[in-house]
Amino acid sequence: MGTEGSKAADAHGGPHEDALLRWYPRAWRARYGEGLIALLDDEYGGHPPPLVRLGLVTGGLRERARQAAITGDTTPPVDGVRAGALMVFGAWSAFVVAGSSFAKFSEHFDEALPHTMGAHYIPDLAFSVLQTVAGVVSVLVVIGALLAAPAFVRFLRAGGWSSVRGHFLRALACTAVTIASTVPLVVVAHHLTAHQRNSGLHWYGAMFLLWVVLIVITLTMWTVVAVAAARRLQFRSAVLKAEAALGAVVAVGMVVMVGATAVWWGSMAKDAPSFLKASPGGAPGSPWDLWLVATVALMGAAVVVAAVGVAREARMWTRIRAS
Amino acid sequence: MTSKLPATFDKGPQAQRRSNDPPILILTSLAGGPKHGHALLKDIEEFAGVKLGPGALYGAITRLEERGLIEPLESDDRRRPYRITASGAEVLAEAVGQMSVLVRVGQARLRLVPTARPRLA
Repeated sequence: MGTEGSKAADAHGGPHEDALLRWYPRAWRARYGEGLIALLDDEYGGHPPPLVRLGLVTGGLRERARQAAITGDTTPPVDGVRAGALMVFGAWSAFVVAGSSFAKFSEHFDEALPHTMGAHYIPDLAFSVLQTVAGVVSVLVVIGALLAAPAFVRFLRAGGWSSVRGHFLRALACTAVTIASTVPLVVVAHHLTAHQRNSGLHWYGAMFLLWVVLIVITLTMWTVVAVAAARRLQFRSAVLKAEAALGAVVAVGMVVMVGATAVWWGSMAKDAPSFLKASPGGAPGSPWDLWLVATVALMGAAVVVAAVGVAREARMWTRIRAS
Repeated sequence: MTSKLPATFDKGPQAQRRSNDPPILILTSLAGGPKHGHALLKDIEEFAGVKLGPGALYGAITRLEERGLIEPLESDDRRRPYRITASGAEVLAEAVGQMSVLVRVGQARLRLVPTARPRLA
């Protein structure tokens, strides 16, 4: 049909309506945007109440999820499997951020533990498990990327570059800024003592925090590039199967890492409570260390997203086998 | 019994039998003739007492059109009307059939209707 789509590349209403429509994917806006704006004009005079706005925001996000084949049954199952694997990959990116936060937090934890027999065993073991699984999962993610490389080359040869160029250039610019900010940070850090680097100097703390934010933004942007490209790739059946299997293993690895972190946390709270404190400037001794709580919450959220991705893979794979 | 209803309207199969499901409400409304978004909202509110939000309405329209149960009509106006297709009518008939079974059983068990009909002379 496409009648509505051919009528307008994109729908236009008042500024409020345009802002609400932006929650929907472009293709959806081209097809249904005019009709929806007309409805908002007729029903609310172009000024929909807050609850209706919320409904449009959730509706737009739902359409985006469907377009990305994350939800819904109308997309081809192959797209669903790929979307599931990409959810795991996106979750892994968030997990890397949480892992880096944990690595910084747990620096020199061994020194805080008492020198009694067995006090080091459990936290050291948990930390080793965490490091080992993180290494294995990282290798698996790289293998997944390498498996996708031939499809990516085919995509570029078929003229796909234009569809990811914008994302790529933004990520590249962000990377350049991050690298440029790393140099002065390292130079400054080199002239500071360990105490000054670890919350002794507020201006250095702010500088470091800004750098961390830049790192997170850069990582997010490259993840967006990878997802934007991978969504358009045509995988061969065997590669898709391998990517799905890798996604499931990565998700399991993430669960193991959260478990190891929880064990480490518990043993530190028991044997080295002075290592934990409720707030960065607060008194030590609280097991509910704010930094650690935030880190583990991010890990947990990533695991949930990965689990949803694996469930999506499994459901869509069942449909492929059934057909 | 194998249902002719689509496997899902993005909800479980039980949801399809609910009379206040947006897809069922839209199909019911369009069974009375083509309508655009605003007319659909008003009609549904009138016959079912349900006020659908624009997000829910267009989400359901999208699903129904993807499944070929409704289709847009040509229009110069931005208010594009939709009409029910033959497949849509078939799906609605089955959904109504399922709901009417529920209605009959419920009425009988609650003794809302006489179990034995009076014979005509």
